[in-house]
Amino acid sequence: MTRLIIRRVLLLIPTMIGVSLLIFSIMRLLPGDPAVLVAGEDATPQTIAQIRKEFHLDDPFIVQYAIFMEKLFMGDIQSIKTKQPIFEELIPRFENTLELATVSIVIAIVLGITLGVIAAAHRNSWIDNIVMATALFGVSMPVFWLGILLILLFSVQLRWFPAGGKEGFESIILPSLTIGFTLMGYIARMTRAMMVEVLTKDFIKTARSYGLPRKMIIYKYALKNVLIPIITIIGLQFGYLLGGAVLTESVFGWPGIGRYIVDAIFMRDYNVVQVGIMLVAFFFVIVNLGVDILYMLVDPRIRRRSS
Amino acid sequence: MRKYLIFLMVILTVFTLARYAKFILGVDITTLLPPDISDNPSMIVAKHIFEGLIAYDSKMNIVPVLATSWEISKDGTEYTFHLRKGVKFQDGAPFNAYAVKKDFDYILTHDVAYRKKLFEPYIKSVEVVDEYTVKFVLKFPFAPFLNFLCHPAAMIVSPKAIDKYDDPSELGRHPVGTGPFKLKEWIPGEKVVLVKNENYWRKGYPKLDGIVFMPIPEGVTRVLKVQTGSADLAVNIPVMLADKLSRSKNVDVVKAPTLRVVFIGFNLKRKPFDNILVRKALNYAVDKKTLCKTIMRGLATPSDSPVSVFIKDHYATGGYPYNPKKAKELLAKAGYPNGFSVELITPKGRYPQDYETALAVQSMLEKVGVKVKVTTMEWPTYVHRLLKTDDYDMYLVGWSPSTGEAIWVLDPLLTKGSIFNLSYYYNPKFEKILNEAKRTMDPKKRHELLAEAQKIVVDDAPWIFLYNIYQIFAKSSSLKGVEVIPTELILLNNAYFQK
Repeated sequence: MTRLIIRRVLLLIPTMIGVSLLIFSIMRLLPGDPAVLVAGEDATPQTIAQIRKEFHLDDPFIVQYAIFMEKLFMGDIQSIKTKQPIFEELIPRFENTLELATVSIVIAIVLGITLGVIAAAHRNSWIDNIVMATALFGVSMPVFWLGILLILLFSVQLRWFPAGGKEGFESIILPSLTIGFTLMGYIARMTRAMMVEVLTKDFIKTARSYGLPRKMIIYKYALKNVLIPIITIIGLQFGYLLGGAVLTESVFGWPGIGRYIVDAIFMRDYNVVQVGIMLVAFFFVIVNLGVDILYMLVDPRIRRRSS
Repeated sequence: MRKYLIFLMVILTVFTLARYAKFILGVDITTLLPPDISDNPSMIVAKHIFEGLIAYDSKMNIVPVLATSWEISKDGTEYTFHLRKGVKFQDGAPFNAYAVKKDFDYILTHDVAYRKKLFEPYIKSVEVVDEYTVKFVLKFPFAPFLNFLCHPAAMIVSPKAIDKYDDPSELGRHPVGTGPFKLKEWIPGEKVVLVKNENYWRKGYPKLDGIVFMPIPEGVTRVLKVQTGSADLAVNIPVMLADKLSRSKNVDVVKAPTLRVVFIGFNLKRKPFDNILVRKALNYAVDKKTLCKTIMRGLATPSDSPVSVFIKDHYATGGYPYNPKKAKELLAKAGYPNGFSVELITPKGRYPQDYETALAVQSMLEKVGVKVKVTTMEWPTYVHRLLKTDDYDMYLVGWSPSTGEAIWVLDPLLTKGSIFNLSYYYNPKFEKILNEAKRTMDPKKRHELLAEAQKIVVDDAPWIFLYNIYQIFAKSSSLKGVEVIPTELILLNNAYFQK
């Protein structure tokens, strides 16, 4: 297992170089001049020229890339727009994103697996229908629409939670419900499908013939066997969430990394987009590594195979 | 039990008295170093921390702030300011002529300052006459210099802070001014918290204990924040929601003038826009009144000059009243009896209802036989196309001069060689008059020259003159004393809560 982790961590290096080159080229292929956008609407041409000079925007591609990588490693890379060190702006936002992603995924897992299991256990009954309709609703609801509906209900009508921004603990509830509800749909549908399949397997029949309690069969024997695919989609979704939930962040004014990067794209703030995307890619890889480790912890067969 | 009740009441009174106003911005601020600010939200926050020698009031009059009076030499090259005594910066440094000199020397000598070019071309030196008198010596007579000093970039930064931080990006994080509020906390993307400056020189102000600025990008959410009472003020309310919001209790929707003029420019390098008759025809073909009433829902007034009606030197030329018949006649005279086809490029969401306006203009021009293809693109691509190429027929743009006067409209947009002269307009007579206006110190004479310049431009019709826009913001009804400067600044320096 240690060897696997080391190998995967080493693989991160070429991955990150690839990501940085890719995003670096894409940003420079886009039309638009960061200096013009940053200088403001009625800036003079001299000001624009000065900003281009300061951020080496007139240098050849390779020189720009070298300067970027050097500054990145020295840790003194600045946003073109705010001229502040990027990490000082990025890290608080990434923490917010992490917070939102974690709460959302917890909501999604608890609701999703519970509903999925209940639906599978009562297959083709009215309970199953209701649960699956809810899951379908979650999957198909656009997040910004659901978000605004939640604001209308919980902020405008009931006045329980603030409508947006990040002010204290209660601010996270509505955005995390919005994301959690959508993800819940995926997880519930997946859980149900896998459970239904597992419940027809021979070992379940055997367990039944032994007269084991139904609850024990479902939660102890069946559920364990469907965890692998569920962990896979949870891992994937969590990885995506760490890239920021742009729409939800916008609707709720949640100061996360997604909106930060999108705003930077619209300002052509090359440095912020590059560092932001690299950070997101980095954590995506890390989450995937975490998922692989989790497989081994959950499933002894995989553990044995890899060692 | 009673003890607790009293305790509770004390807490409650303290709580109600100690009030922060919550101010919702559309986007996050970038820096709080005045000469380094290029965006409106940062300017708004900075205007609560810093003060300049002079400033605009809500009617665009120039009023004294840190200066009490001033004199301008006859030849227009020396501006002498008498400074207010007994003012201290928030870090205890005294405000005096040395502080003013230090601030402007910093702007003039430092490499990176977005607004350096507002001052560098004009200021030869800043001289300390005595402790409370400072003199700006200009390189040549420049009439709008007072207006330039009203710009937020000219607000004075503490000399102590300049010595301490020096680097512009550090200074931008540690703002120290003489204003009614000082910075307490700034979490990027989340909030900026200002608290009352207890030693503020204007007695009895500020009345608020502090202000919390929060960025919320989504317009609907901003509206709901105010509607639910969890915020006191929100900027840039979507035009479509303004009506509904103004009907809700405890919320005021405030419509305030801005200096922004929205227009559709022609590329004069291209046919058929090299023909003045065509340009005039298209001006007659657009019904600006209807645009303002329907598309803009009353949040704009038709414009008849490149200069906003709220700028002191605006001149009402009469413009081009809607007259499709005349438009057709002019087109026929120009050799286009059956019209022609062109492309109109426009941003979407940059200015209120910009794309919708372009579509309305499209249908109006269709009626006189001109087929318009409306193309929209994201802002950076749009700016790139306008500034780096000349590959366009017609473009929609809004302009607001941050200096609040007419020359910063006419000069960058309409003189030869300026990068913002997107229409490639050139009229030597206009430029001669404009240059004369820049050097004319007598306000009345200058106004006459600027009026003449506006008449020439409107007559040459390099643009379809559309409208002046208003800005709308929502505030809770209990928040009073909100000050709105037409340079798109909303200020709470005199604001208070009324129960």
